[in-house]
Amino acid sequence: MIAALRSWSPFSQIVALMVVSFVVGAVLGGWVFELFHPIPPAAAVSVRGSLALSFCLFVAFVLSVYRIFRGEKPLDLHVPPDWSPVTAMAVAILIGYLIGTSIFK
Amino acid sequence: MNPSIKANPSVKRTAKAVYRVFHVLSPLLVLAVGIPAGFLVFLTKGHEFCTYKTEALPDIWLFALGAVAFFAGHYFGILGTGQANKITPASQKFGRLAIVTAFLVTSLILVFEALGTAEIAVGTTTPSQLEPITYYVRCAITRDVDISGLVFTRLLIGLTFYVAGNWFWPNRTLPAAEAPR
Repeated sequence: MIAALRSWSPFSQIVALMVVSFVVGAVLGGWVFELFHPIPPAAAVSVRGSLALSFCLFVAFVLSVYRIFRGEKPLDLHVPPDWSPVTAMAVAILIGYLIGTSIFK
Repeated sequence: MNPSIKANPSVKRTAKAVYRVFHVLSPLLVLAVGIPAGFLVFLTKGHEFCTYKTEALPDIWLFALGAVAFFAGHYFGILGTGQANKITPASQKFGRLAIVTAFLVTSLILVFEALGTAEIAVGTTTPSQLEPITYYVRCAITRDVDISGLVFTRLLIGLTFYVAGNWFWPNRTLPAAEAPR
């Protein structure tokens, strides 16, 4: 399993890590948040969405610091050149939608 | 189109020079528009009078405007293609610090956003103590309808997203060895 994960491209590994972080942030982050503050049902999606994105960015921060201390670049967010432009655009639109709805809605 | 104009190197140089000046000045332009607009909103009608009249952005086309401006910022950056990549060790350190700081600060902002959203007071006349950032954005946009008929809002969204696409999604530098001499 780990060997299979290591064979993925760096960008795919980052995308996978962000997806896992998003789910963990929404579920576990929401649970921790509810220990300190109630989440109104009408705002559940917005609150958990913000927490999920927040955890993604926190993981990116920790990973970047770790990589910098190892003498590497912070995070390689460049889309691999062998990806089809349509896939890259779809991923960009999905990320933009998540961030946009979190800010504007 | 006249091919002699298209191939004229002095015209290309002038276009690149104009682009580079605009590229450097564009973040300042955001501030030059944003600061007076913010003061106008704040001075004419304070945020304490804002109530939630709508549960979403007043005009969805503002979102579309931001998306178009973001892509425009990237593709206008192609005008600067051929510029040599002048990354120095100092600028590399600064860039890494900026990325790491941006990740951490945005993460904390989103926690505040979650807290504000949880305390949201839909339909009340007085806002709760903590409000999500969206509250202030929506409030400013609603006020700008009265102040300038959304001119400031459209300008700011267009400029901000243009700068984001132009600066954070660059496509214009070449390794120094490959740059035209």
